[in-house]
Amino acid sequence: MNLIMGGQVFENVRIPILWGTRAIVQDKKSRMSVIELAEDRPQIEILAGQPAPGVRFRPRVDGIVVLAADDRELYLYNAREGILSSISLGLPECQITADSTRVGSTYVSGSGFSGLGVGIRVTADGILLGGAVPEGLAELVA
Amino acid sequence: MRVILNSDVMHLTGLASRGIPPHIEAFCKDAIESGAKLVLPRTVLLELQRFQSEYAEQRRNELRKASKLMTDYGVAVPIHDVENLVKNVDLIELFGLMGINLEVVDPLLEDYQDAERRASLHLSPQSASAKADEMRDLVIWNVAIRIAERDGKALLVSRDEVHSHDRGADEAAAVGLLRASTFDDALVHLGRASPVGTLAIRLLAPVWETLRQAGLPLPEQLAISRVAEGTFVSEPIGRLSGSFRFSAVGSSGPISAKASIRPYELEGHIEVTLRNIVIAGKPRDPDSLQVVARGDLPSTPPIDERIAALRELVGKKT
Repeated sequence: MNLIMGGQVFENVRIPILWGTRAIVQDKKSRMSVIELAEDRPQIEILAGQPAPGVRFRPRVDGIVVLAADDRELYLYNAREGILSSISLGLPECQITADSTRVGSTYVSGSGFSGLGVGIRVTADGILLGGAVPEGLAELVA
Repeated sequence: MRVILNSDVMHLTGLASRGIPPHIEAFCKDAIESGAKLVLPRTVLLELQRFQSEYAEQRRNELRKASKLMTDYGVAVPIHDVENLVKNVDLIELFGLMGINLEVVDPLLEDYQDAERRASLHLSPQSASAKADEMRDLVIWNVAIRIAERDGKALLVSRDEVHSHDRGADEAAAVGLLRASTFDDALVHLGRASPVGTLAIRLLAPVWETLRQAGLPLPEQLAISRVAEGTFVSEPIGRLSGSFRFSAVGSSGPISAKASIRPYELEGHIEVTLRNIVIAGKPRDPDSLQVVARGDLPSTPPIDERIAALRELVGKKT
């Protein structure tokens, strides 16, 4: 896919930002969607800034907590700040603003990613720029 | 009303200069907007500052190690002053810069003396079987009680068992000290709708009268005093469903239950299941109730346009 998001240009990239096993994309209205790829089929959790149909969630003063089937709190999505904060996923916080992408305390700005599986990959250990799509993930692109 | 904050709800997971958790900032600003004054007992401030010092020292050590590693590999490291790069944070000043004024209240000698007595004799609100003497928590309790007594009302926000247990209920009620273990509960006490409470009310509204007609002694007008454990789902048919625990005060006294509210298979109807119903402190017999009410649950935002926008991005290979 081709898009400009969080200050980066993604060209012919299969997954622009991979946060753990979740793809993060932003539509033309800068609304964030979060798609879990660890299952056989992609599961949309956040759809353009709102909890996707069928997803269990809990609103909080600072955003929406996405819950697992057993009500375990997975992560917090703050639409106003464009922040994804792990609660039980063990991942660094990720923030996507109009002109930059922040992962933990690392800012990525003005980068271009072309012809890659993953543009920015966020793992529990940190951040990787560019790379293949990890094995075992569902295909984001239909 | 003064809102006394304990360290467990104000816990910062890293250096405050790198950002205060959004939920703390959002709560503080919402509380101030409601007219509340936020109070940190000195005991709480000291504990928060201790964590900040530890976080700062941790970052300094990381810098020192990084610098040494670079030097070991022959990479020239610019001269830098680690102490100056990572400074200790003045929390009161930092919150002040964000428009959040925190009033620091020093414990009085009486607070310490009474805490000492309660800790040593294992008196309420401490557990009689406590293994540790929770002196610090008892000092904060005494500060909260003293402020409530002076002002006629106060709110203590704390998850700590000493502060939230039923043991302290009578003493708190006698001086007008309200207690909340989450920011959401605290917002309800402040007359602000908590996000979970707002959705719970939207779900209860179309079924409230049906529940009353089914014999539950709920108040005539929809009014709930507490909502917890809320879980919500935007159903694929475009309606909101959810489950949550709620409390209300009805004609027979306090009533609480765990509610599950969702669209019924017949369109225009709602299925409501209440479990663990407790009325005036006693389980109802039976303690569960299931009814189908006529009506519609709240609509969720339409998804067609949002799905289309997402499909435009990921719908085809490039």
